[in-house]
Amino acid sequence: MQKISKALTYTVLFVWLAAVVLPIVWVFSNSIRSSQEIYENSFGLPWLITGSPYADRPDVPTPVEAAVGNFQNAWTKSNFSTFFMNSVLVTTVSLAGILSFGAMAAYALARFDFRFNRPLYLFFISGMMVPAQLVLIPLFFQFSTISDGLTALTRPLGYEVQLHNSLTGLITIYIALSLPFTILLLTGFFKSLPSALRESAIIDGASEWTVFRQIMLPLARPGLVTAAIFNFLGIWNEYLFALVFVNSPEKKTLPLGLASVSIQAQYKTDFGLMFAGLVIIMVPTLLVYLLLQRQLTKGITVGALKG
Amino acid sequence: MAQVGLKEVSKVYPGGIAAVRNVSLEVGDGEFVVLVGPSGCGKSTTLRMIAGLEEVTEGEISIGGRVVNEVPPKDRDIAMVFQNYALYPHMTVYNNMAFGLKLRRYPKAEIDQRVREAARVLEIEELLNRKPKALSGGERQRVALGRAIVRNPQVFLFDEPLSNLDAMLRVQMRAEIEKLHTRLGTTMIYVTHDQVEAMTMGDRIVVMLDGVVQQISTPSELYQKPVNRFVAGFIGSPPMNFLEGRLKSEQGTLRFTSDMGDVALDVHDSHRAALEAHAGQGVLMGIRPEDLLENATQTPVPGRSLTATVEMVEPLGAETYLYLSVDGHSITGRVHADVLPQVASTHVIDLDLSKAHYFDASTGEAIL
Repeated sequence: MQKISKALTYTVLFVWLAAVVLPIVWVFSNSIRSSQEIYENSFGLPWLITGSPYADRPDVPTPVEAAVGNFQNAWTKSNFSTFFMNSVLVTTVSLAGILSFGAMAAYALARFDFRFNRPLYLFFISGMMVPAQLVLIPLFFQFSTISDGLTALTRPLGYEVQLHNSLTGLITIYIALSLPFTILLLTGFFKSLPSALRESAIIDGASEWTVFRQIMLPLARPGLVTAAIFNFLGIWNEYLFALVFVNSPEKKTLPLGLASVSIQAQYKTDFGLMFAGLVIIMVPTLLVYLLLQRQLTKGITVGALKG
Repeated sequence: MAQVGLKEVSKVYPGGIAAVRNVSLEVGDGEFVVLVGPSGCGKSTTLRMIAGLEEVTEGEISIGGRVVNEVPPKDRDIAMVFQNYALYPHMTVYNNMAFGLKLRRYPKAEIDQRVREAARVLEIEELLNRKPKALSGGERQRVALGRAIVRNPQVFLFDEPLSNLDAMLRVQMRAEIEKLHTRLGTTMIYVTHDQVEAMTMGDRIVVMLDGVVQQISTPSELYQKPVNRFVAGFIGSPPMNFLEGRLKSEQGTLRFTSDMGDVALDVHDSHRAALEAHAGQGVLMGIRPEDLLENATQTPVPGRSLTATVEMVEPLGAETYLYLSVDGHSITGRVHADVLPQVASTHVIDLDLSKAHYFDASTGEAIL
């Protein structure tokens, strides 16, 4: 009986593993095939390994040329370099904002006993109950109002505030939408750190800011890493808000860029190029996850258990 | 070095819970004072108020003659050692010890010299580059002490610093702290729930219960002249035995008889004058386990012996603890190692009644 249940467990796990890994492998393998190869041989071993059946025809690119060409075209011709830089900028600035505001708010909520602590905490957390799609349209109009209002103030300085079609606007949205979850996660984390550390540092002569910066923040690193990874995944792949709030091509992020490439090319789709684009989007995610994986599991468990 | 004074200090938490009530205490310059009591007695809260980690609801705390009620902890010139050590886990031992000095902007050379000196005193020089998680409990405690002494404060505060250590290490660290006190001569206030620690370390001991100071005395006075039943029972191990009963004057002798009537003991001549006035009243007689004496012939002496049933025998090597039952009371005797009666047998034991204590049955206050 035990053997059967073990075999069953392993079967389920194996199927799951295959369901996760195979598509990734397929995307990677197709990113080094020409469109012609994808039509003829999308699931077999790539021609790059087995050799092309058109090796004797000089007008057909060799498998190496096709593979390099896919990435080259994606990066330069389809502007993935711009999209990539935009994504990096938006994600890093958003993460910096989320982590610093999130950590400060969470620390205050976890450590200090003030009058509206609980309601404030619930207020932050309640943000998680609102579906992001719901705020999309009101936010669009609010951005216009806010932009006009701020511009009225800054126009004398010769500066116009525009939150629409700007990465600043997008970053603001990402920070605001990510704070509830981040605060929930980090509050639990800060609560699990012994309060004697703070007291000891205070007696040692530290101010509250020093305690936060030099004692609590370094100790909360696993929690911060967890928050960083979750938010990175969300923001790096975010499509809906980017689509609504950004329209000029030079401000597009990677998911938007990929979509625009596939839409533009609807009559003559270069599948090889699109798979290369997908790989460009996926690689940073995989790298971040692989590098920080150990911290991630640590963060999840430490935050969950008090004491 | 400094004196520490508490003047009618109270701490009331929101919701009206009084953790500390009207505590007054003068700790002399260089004195080692121990606050002791069961959990929840307010000893830690008192210490934390001295440290500035808790606000004082009422009363006045002074350090070195200066009232510090409104002074933040860092400006009180104190150092505190916590029960769980509270070492900064991400810093090396060296940085843990240097942290306070760095914050106070001491010159680098002086920080280094002070840290190394403290490490030398505590014999932790070879641990300076390690992180706390690579240290044993005893080593962590030394680092915590080191962090306190590098600052060279006026007052050291200890909040149950040895509770997390095993028994052997506790005895060892106890000696270390005492040595440190002799060496530095700094005022120390030490909180513990362990009366053995209190008795062995303190110049004076403050016994607390329910936020109220019960007695402030030297260890020997506390042991010999407890002011009430609580102190008598709390100090000493095994604890003092108590028998409930009444004082009766019979044919010129003053006699203690237990409520059940099976025990009748003559009041010692030296106690008679003080107890005369309480004749006919309910009292609690207390006698320490070591004041139960072996009766070699097993013949009861009227008015001075108890005939008891042996419930348990604990031979400890150097001595034997006898757990006896007399007249519904459980009493403990601490006798010579050779005395090993059979369990459930009847055993006669004599009492050194000159060492007996008497307490008012209703108030628990000591009569004698």
